[in-house]
Amino acid sequence: MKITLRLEEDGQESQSVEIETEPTQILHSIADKVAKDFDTDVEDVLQCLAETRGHDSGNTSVAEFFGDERRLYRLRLVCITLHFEGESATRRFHASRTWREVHRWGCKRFCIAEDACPNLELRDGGVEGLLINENQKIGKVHGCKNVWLVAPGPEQNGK
Amino acid sequence: MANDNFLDRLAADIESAAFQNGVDQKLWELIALAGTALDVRIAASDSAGYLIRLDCTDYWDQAILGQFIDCQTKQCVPSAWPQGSGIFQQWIKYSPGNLFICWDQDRGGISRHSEWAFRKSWQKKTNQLVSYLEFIHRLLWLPQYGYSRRSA
Repeated sequence: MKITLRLEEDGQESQSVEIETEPTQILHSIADKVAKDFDTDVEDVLQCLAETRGHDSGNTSVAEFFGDERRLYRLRLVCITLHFEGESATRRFHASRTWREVHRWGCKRFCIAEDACPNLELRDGGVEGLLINENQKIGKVHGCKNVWLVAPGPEQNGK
Repeated sequence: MANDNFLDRLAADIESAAFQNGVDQKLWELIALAGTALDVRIAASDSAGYLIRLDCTDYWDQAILGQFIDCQTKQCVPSAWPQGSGIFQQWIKYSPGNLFICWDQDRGGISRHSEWAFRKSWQKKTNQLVSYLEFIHRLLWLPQYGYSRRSA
């Protein structure tokens, strides 16, 4: 059976992927393929699919999930470009993900030491940009949002 | 006249996009404003917040004086101050009778380290108020500063 998944960003369709699959395959295997094509993670794809069908198990079979109905689905994701010390990387996230998850992904992506990672801040638009509360969800994003992982400078004290 | 300039500058920084961003992001919240004194609730990594009174007398010419205060009584008492490791205590002095923020951009710290006054470090960033709040936020969120999270 053929399934078409379309990526929707900022209210606009940006790309689509067609997948030929067996009805007995589990949803996770489709999500895995789509995640690579759309520069995102399997969990974000499954979250999008769960929204459309109220089903959140990656172990559900393709036939069970899609049934005989339409096999065209839109995945609504947001685009984040993360910068760190001259490097940058782009990934798409489900809007309900928190900024903390973006931060953690960045640490892995830029090979930042585990003990250094939690001592970085996320800033919007530049190294001196607006501070981001990492407990907050990403929410709506216009275009691809540029965010910086920043190590704060030393602070003077009297010891 | 000079007093008006201080107040205008303070008002502009309260209305700035950077201050409002902190409110929108739930990093801090302005609870009360009386003259040059601001009571601001600031979030901590353990989800509970602290109330800090910022005395912004002669704003910009002078550093801000920050003191944590009790949410109910609005008094500066040791129990209202965040606690932490020895590293944390390099900045936050919470022993009874000696409550102050030991930082080169806080007036309480500067009064104990007169050599800091000449540097005017609080003028390094154009928005003194946001710079101060971001510093306190950092102390309460980043593990390297050693803040002790409170149990629920």
